[in-house]
Order: sequence, then C-alpha cells, then structure tokens
Amino acid sequence: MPELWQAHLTFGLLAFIVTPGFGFGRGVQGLRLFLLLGISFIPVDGLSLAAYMRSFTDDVAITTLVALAFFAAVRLGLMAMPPQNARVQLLIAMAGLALFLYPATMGLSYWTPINSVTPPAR
Amino acid sequence: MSSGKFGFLPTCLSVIALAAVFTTAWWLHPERAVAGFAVANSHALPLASKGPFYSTRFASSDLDEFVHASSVTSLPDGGLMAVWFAGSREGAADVQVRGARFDAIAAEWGEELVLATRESTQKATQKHIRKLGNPVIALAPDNRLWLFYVSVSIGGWAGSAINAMYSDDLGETWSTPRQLITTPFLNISTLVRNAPVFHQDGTIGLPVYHEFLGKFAEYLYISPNGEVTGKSRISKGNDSLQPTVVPMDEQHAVAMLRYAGASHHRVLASRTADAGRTWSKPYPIDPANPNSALAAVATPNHGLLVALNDLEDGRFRLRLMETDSSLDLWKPVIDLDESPDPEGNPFTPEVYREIIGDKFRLSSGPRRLSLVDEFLTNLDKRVCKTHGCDFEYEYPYFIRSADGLYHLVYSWNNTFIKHVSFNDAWLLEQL
Repeated sequence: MPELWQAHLTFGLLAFIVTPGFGFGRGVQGLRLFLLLGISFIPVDGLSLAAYMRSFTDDVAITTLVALAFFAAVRLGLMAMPPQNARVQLLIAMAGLALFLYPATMGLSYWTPINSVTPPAR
Repeated sequence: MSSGKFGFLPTCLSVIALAAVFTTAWWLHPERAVAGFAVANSHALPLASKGPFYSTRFASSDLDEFVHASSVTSLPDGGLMAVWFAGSREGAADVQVRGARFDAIAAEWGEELVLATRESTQKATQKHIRKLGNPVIALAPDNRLWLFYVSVSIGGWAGSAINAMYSDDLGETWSTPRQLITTPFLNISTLVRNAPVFHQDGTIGLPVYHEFLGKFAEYLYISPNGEVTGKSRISKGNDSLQPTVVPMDEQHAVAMLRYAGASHHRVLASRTADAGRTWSKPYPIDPANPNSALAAVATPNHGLLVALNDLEDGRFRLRLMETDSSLDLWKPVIDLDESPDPEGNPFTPEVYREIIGDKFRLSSGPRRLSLVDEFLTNLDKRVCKTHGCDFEYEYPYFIRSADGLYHLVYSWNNTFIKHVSFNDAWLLEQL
C-alpha cells in the first residue's frame, strides 16, 4: 500500500470522471481507470503527479472520496444515476452544508467546524 | 422526500440511519476537557535576586541574507535556542529556517544551523513546497523541543500550512516535519508566529492566525505527541492576526493581537477565563499598532511586559512597555531600538552608514562585533531602497526563562536577529 494511497485514488478517480469516455464499453473504461491510476505515480521533480495534486487539495475528505467513487461507478455502468429530484435534493443538502460550514471556516463567526465553542460573552 | 425510484420509507430509514451514525459518533466523543494553563513556575520566581542586568547581542551571523521572524526558547542547562527564517528576501524559494544556540556560560550565540529548507520539507511532507515562513520554537514540559514553521504550497501566505518537527535531545537531532491538520478548507491558511503556552496535562496551546479572505486569530490545542485535538477562535473577521497569549493563572489568559484594519490602529486584546476554550470579543487598547507584530510576557507582580512598535505608521521604533493585568495602565519602560529621526524618515546612504555602524557596535555583542566592517560595505536593498535607507525593528518574540531572565529577540533592520536579555532588578530600576 503506497504511503499516499488516498492521493493516488483521488487523482485516478477525478481524472477518470473529468476525462471523456469516448463511448467505450465497461471493460475499456475499467482499463482507462487503471491507466489513470498508473499515471498518478509518474514522478515530476521528485514528486508523483498525485502528490502534486495533494499539495493543493491536501488529503480530501472521505465524503469527497465516496462521491468520486460513486460517480466513477456510474461512469463504469456499475450504478445508475439517481433521478433528477434525488440529485437536486442532494445538491441542496450539500449547498446548505457548504453555506453553513465554509463561512464558519473563513472566520465569519466564532464557531469553528473543528471544535465548537460557546460564543464570547463580551 | 420521495422519488419514483427511492421510496418514502427507504429514504426515511436512510435519514434515520445517517442521523444515528452522527449521534453515536457525538456520544462516543464527548466534549474534551481542557486542562488549565501551566503557570505556577513563572510566578514563583523571586522579583530581584541579583543586581540589574541588561545585555544585547546578535543571534544570527550571516551577512547576506534577509532575516526575519525570530523565536527563542530556554533550555534546561540555562542556554537558549533561537530560530528565524533567512533567505534572499521574504517569500523567496531559498528561504531556510535557521537557528543558533546560546551558550549560557560564554554568554554568546554559536554558529548558525539550518533546521529546515523548502526541499527537506517537500521530501518529508510529500507536497510541493513553494516557500517557507515564520518558525516558532518551544521547549515542552516533557523536555521535547518543538519547532513549528509555516510553508506554502500554492499562492501567497494565505495558502500557508503549519509544519511541526520535534527533538528529544534538545535540538541535536530532529524528527522529519509533518503538516498539522488545522482546517477542513483544503488545510490552508493557518500560520504561526507567537509563543505557544502549555497546559497542565502537557497540551500545547499554539496561537495561530488565518489570512485567506479574512484575517483572524485562533488557538490550537495540540497533544504532547503533536496531534491537533481542537481549536477555538480568538477573533473573527478580517482585521486581527498574530495573537500573543499570556496566561495569568490556571484559567485566565490575555491575548493581544496585531491590528490589520483601517480604523483605529490600536493593539487589540481578548481574554479567556476557561483556559482558552472561549475568548472575549477583541477590543482596542491604548498602545498604537501599525499592523505589526507584538509580543508579551507576564511579570511576577501579575502585570505584563509588551514589546511592540507603539506607532501608527512604520516600524522604526521598538518599545518595551509595562501594563497591569487590566491593560488599562501603560508605561513605557525603554525604547529598545529606534531611528534617530522621530518620524522615521529615511536617511541618505552616507549618513545611514555612520548611524547604523554605531548601532551595530552597541548591539552586536563581542563575538559578532568583528562583522561590522563587512556589514557596512554590504548595505543593500534590505535597508536601502530608492527613497533612502530605513531603520526597522520589528517582529519581537518574548519569553521569560526558568531562571527569571527575560529574553527578547527581534528583527534588526532585516539584517540580524537581535537578542536582548534583562532581569527583574533592571526592570525595577526602569519603572
């Protein structure tokens, strides 16, 4: 198990999702995913491509990895894309969480997503 | 919540299951108790056990590099270790984290050591590293020496992360650095500058700040083995950074912050009454602050000593001030370093060379004194620009060692790290 397995997996899944599949079948798509995972190990100036991407994203959250795996599974034809209203519900839930959590991360209040503390008395 | 493919009941069950997972996780990991500050030793020291003592010397010795953001810690043998960053300019790829040891018997600083480079950090963290920034060194109660320093992978300082490395042999050998996880947002924009404080259970309380979009201060709880276990927010918004935290007793501490806003140009203060879990809303206090770093320590009479640029603009004077625990009464102790021009106006290179030569001789200490001639022939863009040559004394870092001495390090015209030490007897004479 490579030390940066999460970075390699993220790189491979993300590249698989954002690059076109050219309408090939499931077997070729699986081969494409393995090829992209292999590309993530290519070193540039002492760091692998996956490590370079991790430099900018850090280790992504497990929820992000689950989402990437889900969309990769959809592209591989292993899972069906949920109906539009379910996707909209998910999008609303994620947008709501983003609207709540990222302003908190950016210091708009005294609440931090890492450790909830009581608002100041003064 | 219903859809053609996913029925109402499965959706409800999924939501309940998800809620149960979060509730169980919350239940299994209750709010962590925070130990009080470890402050007993500093207040137990005698007020004036020896005669007045005040001494200055340069900790750094390199003549060519831009040096900045120094930090110092005392060691069990009475010596010190200081760290700072040095490079062709602030933010350059060649910036290194350097350090030096102070021999208490010889009362002099040794040769410079390279503790971290862009390359060593990149190799250890397996991340692309563009540049290094502020380092902070501190000796924990378990005699583990910690070095925290800033690195940037993308963008400017707003893209910073904090790296931590430690030494179990007082700085002879060091662990490989590793990045602290401090924020869920790409783990970027957490910087360190000021002295950590320690809690009774060995937890490290590290004052940090954030610079992406906003500017605000936070307080990290780090376990004795270097894991971030929590944090609290000292300030919010976009006008405060670089908190210096001074514990007053087990539960109470004062944080003073650099002001980065545009309205009042005053130092900000915040307080905690629960060992750092919550902080009061920062408020402006008396001393002026030109958006520059400051540093503070507690005194045995429950007051504080603060080193700062007590100016509304510029950093041409570094002043030591005393205040009481209410932060209402402020009294200048001494101007540690200042420009001869009361407005901080620049000088011509010829005049500047003469003035700074005298200041060098007064500041350097015996070991670095021999560098003066070479220094004066090498007055470059670190001090002289097109408008003239400036005096800049900034980024103080303050500690009180176990033997009761105060140690202050700061950037001396971006060319040397100056170390000032004094004792309570000297302080009493000034007040």
